[in-house]
Amino acid sequence: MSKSQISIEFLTTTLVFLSLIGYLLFQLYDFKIAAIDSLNVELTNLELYKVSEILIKDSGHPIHWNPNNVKRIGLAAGFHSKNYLNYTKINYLRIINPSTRDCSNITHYLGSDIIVSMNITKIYPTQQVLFNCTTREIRLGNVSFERYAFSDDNSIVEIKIYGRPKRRV
Amino acid sequence: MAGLKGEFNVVELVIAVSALLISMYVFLSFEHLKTSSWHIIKTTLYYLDLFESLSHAKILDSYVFGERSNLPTVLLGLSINPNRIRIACNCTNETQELIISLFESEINNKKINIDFCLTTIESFNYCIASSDVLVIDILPNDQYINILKKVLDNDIGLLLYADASAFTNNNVLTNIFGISRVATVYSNRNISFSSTLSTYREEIFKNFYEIYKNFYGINLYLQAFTTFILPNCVFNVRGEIKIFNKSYSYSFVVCNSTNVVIDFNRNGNFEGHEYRTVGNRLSFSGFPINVTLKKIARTGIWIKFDKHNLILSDITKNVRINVVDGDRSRVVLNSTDGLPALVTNTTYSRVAWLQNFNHDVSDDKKVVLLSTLIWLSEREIQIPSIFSYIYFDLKDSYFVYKIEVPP
Repeated sequence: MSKSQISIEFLTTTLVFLSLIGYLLFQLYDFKIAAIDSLNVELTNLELYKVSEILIKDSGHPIHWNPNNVKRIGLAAGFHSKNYLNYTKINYLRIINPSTRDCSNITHYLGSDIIVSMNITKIYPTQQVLFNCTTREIRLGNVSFERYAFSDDNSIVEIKIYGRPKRRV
Repeated sequence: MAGLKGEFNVVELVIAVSALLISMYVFLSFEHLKTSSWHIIKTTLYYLDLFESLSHAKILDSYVFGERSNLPTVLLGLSINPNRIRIACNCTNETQELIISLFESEINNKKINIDFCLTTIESFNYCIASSDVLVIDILPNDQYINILKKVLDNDIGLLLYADASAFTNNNVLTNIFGISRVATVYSNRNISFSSTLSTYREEIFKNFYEIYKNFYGINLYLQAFTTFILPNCVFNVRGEIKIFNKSYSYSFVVCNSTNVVIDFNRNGNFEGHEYRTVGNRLSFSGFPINVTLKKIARTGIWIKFDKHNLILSDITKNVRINVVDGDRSRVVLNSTDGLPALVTNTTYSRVAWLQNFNHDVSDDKKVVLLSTLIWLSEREIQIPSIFSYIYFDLKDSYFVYKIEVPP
């Protein structure tokens, strides 16, 4: 074999090496897509959880806010009032965000841009929709979060938030 | 090796590459990807919220200190059970829309939550691995049999929701679903729950019974989405009841939180019709099916099928499907001339084939689909039986509560 010839062994190893690299790249790409999707859902769940916590455990700012002076929305009746909501604040939401087809005012005061829909419904002792807005049609892949809290009008309310995972990574 | 210096030993390289491939497979395989635990977190939050809310409402205290009658009613009324079915779907838009229409349905006053992800069955991916049921609406080729077996090995239920007239017998059909296609026949017979359980086998009977029980227990949600103004009504939204596979449906208008008006004679005029309220039975002339109005909301109504009614169908094409092991007790639904429409198989795990009739799916068939999905999902429909809670209000003392929720 002359020096300039490529040996069959070299050719074989090169082919095996390239095949391996190709396989690994394909696997990594496949893995990355699935991992990114699931990570975005995880992040959306996390953000919705934080928003729901703020809604039911934080009184907002200022504490006794109204539609004219609100800086941050929180529905809790006061400090240390977790799961204890102020019914007046719930009703203020309709004034802050009068449109049922747009949640932008609510999302602005909550500091979250992933919310596509929010519903607050009195579920005990009677059923009554207290607030609802839907910016976008709720679709497959949207994440939902439901929380329950006592309202100071002696009722129990359900807060349901839908979020749309956005590509962040 | 008697080669030149610097040359690779091919045998050693092949061994090294094989070892590398195997290790990469082990590390990159999706079954090792940890699935999300948000459903557990949400379940825990539901119960924490429940206890907090009940504590504030003084209902929990009054229950502990003597008023034994109130709490169970409140718990049921809250619809707080986090029943959650996670569905992976390799399916068309029509099937997706159908499954979406099942959202908000209830059983025992508890909402059946459905988590949904779209997938392919090219690999055992994250979507499938984290689901309770895999739904496919086309019969896969034999090349997918290993993936499907892996799905079943992981205790994930499998539903083939497909029109059997398009089936070509293959190993997936016979080995996984335990059925084979014999012939396409034409008939227009009613479909009902199979009444001939020829051989009593506890497991089979249990499977059959669970689907049967779910069917007659589910409150199907019918959304009302168009505005229709009626005098003296508050909600004024209109929806459709499509109980029978006819070309028409019956319109209803949600009047207020207690009343609904149904256009029984389908003349588009709701005036003169009596108001129907929760608990009323709705009878449609000419059809032996009755449904009960179970619940009314601003956005729609919930209906439940009364027991011992036939499920009607105007199917024009049925397919004669054979049960390969001859066990007819696996046939849950069939037409009156004996053509199966829903066949289960528990050889590997929970598997079912349900006939897809390829046109507007009526409400009764939606409930069949949901009943089957609940059966296939198996464990996740179970609710936690014991949950504890410490109530600490920074006051005089703290209370420790433990609640047992019956299944």
